[in-house]
Amino acid sequence: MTDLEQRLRRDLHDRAAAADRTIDLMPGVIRRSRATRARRTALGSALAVAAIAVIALAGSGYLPLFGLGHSGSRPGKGAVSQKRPPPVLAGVPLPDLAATPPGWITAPYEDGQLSVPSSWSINGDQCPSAGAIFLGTPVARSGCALPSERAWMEPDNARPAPGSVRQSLNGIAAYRLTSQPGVPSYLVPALGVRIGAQGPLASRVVHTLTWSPLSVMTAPSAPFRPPAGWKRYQVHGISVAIPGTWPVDTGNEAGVQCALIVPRDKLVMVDASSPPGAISCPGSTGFPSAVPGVIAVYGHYAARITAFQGGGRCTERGRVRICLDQGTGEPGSSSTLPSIEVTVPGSSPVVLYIGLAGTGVQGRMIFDSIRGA
Amino acid sequence: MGVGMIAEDDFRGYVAARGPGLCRTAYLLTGDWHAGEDLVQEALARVYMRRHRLTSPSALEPYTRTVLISLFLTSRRRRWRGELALGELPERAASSAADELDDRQDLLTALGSIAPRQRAVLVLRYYADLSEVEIADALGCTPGAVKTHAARGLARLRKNASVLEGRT
Repeated sequence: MTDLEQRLRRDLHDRAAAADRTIDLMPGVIRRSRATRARRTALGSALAVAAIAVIALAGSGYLPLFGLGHSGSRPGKGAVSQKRPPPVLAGVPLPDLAATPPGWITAPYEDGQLSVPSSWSINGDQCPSAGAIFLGTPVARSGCALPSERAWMEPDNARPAPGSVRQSLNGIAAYRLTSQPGVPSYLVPALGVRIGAQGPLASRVVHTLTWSPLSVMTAPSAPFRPPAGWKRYQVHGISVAIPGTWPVDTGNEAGVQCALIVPRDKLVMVDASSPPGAISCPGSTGFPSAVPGVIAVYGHYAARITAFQGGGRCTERGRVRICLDQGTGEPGSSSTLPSIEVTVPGSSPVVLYIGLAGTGVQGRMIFDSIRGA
Repeated sequence: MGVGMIAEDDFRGYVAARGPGLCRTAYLLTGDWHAGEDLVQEALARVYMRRHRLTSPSALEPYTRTVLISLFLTSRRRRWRGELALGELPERAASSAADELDDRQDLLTALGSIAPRQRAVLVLRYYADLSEVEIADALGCTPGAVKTHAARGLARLRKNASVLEGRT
């Protein structure tokens, strides 16, 4: 080999190594293959023109705004939930609703979520008979036998080991961890977690991984503007916009303290200007299901009644200071109905609960609409 | 092995394992990372759609390589490629980097000035470490033609690099 050949070999390797970067090719591959297929079809049929438009819209992530959302294929056995690229809106990756099979429930934790059969329990809140998913906590349950079918999502901020195989779970980079056969386990640095599952549905469960609605609400990006038809309401010095079709209801402090208010598609106002009395809550009803809606607790005792915990992330927007509860993202209502303290100088804070369901886009629009009245 | 042995999982595994390597090769071919990534995605998309024609997972690598090179050469034949992709800003301040870095830049700049087919042969030979037979398969030519392209490419590279060095 001549000097030139040796130098060329060395320089090519050095140059490639210097330019190397982490990439996730599969979403682009799927998108391109779909586009190619659509182009071919268009040659023979005028109807294909509409199909291409739909694919282009889906690829750009704009469909959720128009209510069409994730009408893509449902996942079957194993890694089949990646038939199209995961939706993105204004640079924010959205939860892939098609990753949740029909009849399954979502189990969000921080910025990610898995889906499991609706018969499974979450964090062993009841002695599980069918299966269980453990979020943010070690797989354990005192007083109950562990079900053979289980899944988990635990915090893990480790970096992937050199040479570990990178895969894509619904567009999220995941690194396979060494595990026993039939027990898939992955490190997911983008979410700061490790996930895994065992049992007959193990592979299917881990392939439901996607972003959580909470991740959409808290993602840094340009504000999500509410669409036309939304109404703005003033609550104790702040204002917030909600869909125009939502009614305004009232609730009481006991409903807040016992987590009994389900603000399904409505704004529930709770006056907390009087000191809370001693109340007795009924037993736990388990993990709440995610529904869209808003609860606004206002008055001098709002923070006390809601047991709002400071120390979470805060932001200043105009004249108002907006803070998340310290426990935001923890399993349960902290993920599906996070509380937000909104403070206007010279006024007692208002605590808003924003129901996060679906893609979380609507919740994000509500969150971004908060400002001083 | 019969027809249609490439399952989707096999393909995904292949992309996860070989995607970065293909991107590096494509980057050296095009001189731009994003253009290289686009090239690889286009190639993989075509392979993905035709994967049922392949008889075994081991056929993925040579077939993908052939598609990648074909796309690269086709893109170079087009009169207008829509945009000129540059890895760095065209205007740069005077550099105080070592001479070795300048030499390397000159050599790789010279690589970008030779004929696409010659460049493909040099990248596949000296970066991907492919044999002449494998390169011939990827380019759809004979091993003899590969030797000719390599020799002419190196000669052109030597000449262009020396011109660039003389200019600095």
